[in-house]
Amino acid sequence: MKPMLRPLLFEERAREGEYVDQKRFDMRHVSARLRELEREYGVSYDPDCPVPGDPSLAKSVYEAGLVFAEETGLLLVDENRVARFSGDEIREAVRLAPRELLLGRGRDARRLRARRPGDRDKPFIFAGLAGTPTPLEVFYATALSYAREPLVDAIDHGSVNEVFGVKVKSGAPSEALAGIEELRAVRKAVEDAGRPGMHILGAESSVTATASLAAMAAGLLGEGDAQLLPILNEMKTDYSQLTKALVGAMRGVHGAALIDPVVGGFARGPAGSSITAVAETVLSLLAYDASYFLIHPVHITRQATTTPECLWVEAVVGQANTSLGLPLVADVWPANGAGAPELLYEVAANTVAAVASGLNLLGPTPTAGTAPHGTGLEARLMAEVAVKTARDGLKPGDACEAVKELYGRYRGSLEKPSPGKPFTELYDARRVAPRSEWLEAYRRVRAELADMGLVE
Amino acid sequence: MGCRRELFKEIIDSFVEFEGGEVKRLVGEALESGCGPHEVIEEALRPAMRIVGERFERGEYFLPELVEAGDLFNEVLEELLLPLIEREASGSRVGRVVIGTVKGDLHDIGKNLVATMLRVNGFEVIDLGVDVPPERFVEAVEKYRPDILGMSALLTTTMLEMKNVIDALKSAGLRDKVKVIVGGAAVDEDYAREIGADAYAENAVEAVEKCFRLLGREPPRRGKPSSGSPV
Repeated sequence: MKPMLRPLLFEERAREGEYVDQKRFDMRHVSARLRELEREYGVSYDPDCPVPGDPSLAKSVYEAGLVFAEETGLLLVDENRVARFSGDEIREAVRLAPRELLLGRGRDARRLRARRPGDRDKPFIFAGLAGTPTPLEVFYATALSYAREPLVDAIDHGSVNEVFGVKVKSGAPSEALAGIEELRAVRKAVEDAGRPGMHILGAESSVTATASLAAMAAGLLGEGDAQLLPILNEMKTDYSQLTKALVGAMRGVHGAALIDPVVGGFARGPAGSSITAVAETVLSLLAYDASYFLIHPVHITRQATTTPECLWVEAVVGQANTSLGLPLVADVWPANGAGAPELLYEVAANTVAAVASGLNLLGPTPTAGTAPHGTGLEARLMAEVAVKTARDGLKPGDACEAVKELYGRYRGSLEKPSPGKPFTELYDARRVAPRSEWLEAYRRVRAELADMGLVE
Repeated sequence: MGCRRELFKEIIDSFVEFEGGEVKRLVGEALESGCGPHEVIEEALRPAMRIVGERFERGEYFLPELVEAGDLFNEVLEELLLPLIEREASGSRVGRVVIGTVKGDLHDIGKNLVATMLRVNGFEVIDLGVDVPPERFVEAVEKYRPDILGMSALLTTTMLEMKNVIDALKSAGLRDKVKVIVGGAAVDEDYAREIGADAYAENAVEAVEKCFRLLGREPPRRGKPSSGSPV
């Protein structure tokens, strides 16, 4: 039977758990154990193919991930104590987790499913600036540009970093107001797009629990919506996230667990990061009672998910999910900004790799989330490539060559990515429609992708 | 007996494989043979740290190896070399830096990279960790009398704490006794200027360069060792 209020049970378990200082936890419990597990389970990164197609590799990552989750547990940083769960408890949580969710409300509700590699059903598409600090002046218009795209199923937009001239501070009233302003703008955008019941993953402004709680209290984040619940790097959580999760669960708000191992950090390289992602995914069920899971490997120096190492992690975790059967979503965070054609190649490569590996999509978030230089047009391209990749039933091993070809077209830009251009230079803000320069670039790249068989 | 320089290669080989006991034994042997502590630092330990940095950049080593290398470097320095060096005359320490991630921010990867790179380049680093409130920064400046105070923040919502730290230093009468450098994904040159910091660094390499300049010294040639990671 599913236990109630998992965040409370997690708190109880952690407070009785082993005391471990953070450095020891990072070095011994996480990194050293990962190195052993990579060897024990034969998990290694192949730089020649960012989308490996060997099912036994995925199975090994799944098995190593479950062992890692059971042995290491999650560190509650406020107490420096570890909450551990038995293998039976972990498997039971996975067994009870929903495979399919109805997200949003009324006629705008859409189904997010656990996919498998090569599945032909349309992947679920979240679009938006996904946590990028975004000025309120362009917040609504940028959100509307994503909400208007017909292939987009849900919205996850930027974070507000200034309210009425006051810079937002963690845990302060300004953060509460940022959460409220963010949700107000996104709600208005989905209404004005004629999709008032569209699923919103919100309170991206919530660094602590404050913005999420404020948005829920104001009735702006409720049933049918979701809030972001990050697992802290690596294998950690805190009372802020647990509080959000608990209140959200009581208010019918879905938890979207952010699984973002740092590739090159304490999660080690791509092999260790993929094991970590599986472990963090199952533990986010026990800590947050998460409904769905955003797989977001962060490259330690380049941040973007479009590096070969991060593409590999997403692909392997997507395939390992064959054994878990959870609704997993790949974050697409290109290095370049909108206005730069390289961004479109990055979006295509990341999309093909993720969808062929059985993932749904969230993004694209340009400049890896550092500048709000994004528009609905590149989300359209992401969705178009996703639909074609799924329709063709493309399998991971078959995706490798196409992804390598696309990588060749943006590889040089990763060293010094283009920041792109502000929204108002790429879109007519009054009509919320792309200007000819960006539209032409999109059409040019789209035609190349059509020649490669990656869009209709 | 002359300094047995051939031991330096053995020290480097053991160091880059993190064989701490072997490194200490070999360093002891080198010192006994007549090598000076500076020679051990410059010709064995720093080249070893550079190799670790290069392996990190090539994706062969990861953050835990950088941390391990930094710890081993410090252990050898503290246990075997510093006791032999007159600090003023040695020049082995370029300067002392107190570093930390500001209150409310738990991100430490960039800060750790900076700390390690500073150590590689001869700075003594006192790392206060993450989520450090202003009063702890002030206490550390009073206690350790560093040349430089470094602060990191990843988030736009936590970078505001940097100003609180600078104001706390002023209020304690310590602001003119220490240089302040800031960094992190949320911070930029303008913000550093706005809050009255002495310098801003975009990444770990730049942080090292700026710290040298804050002390009125010329930084070592760029890229050796190097890491382009964000602060």
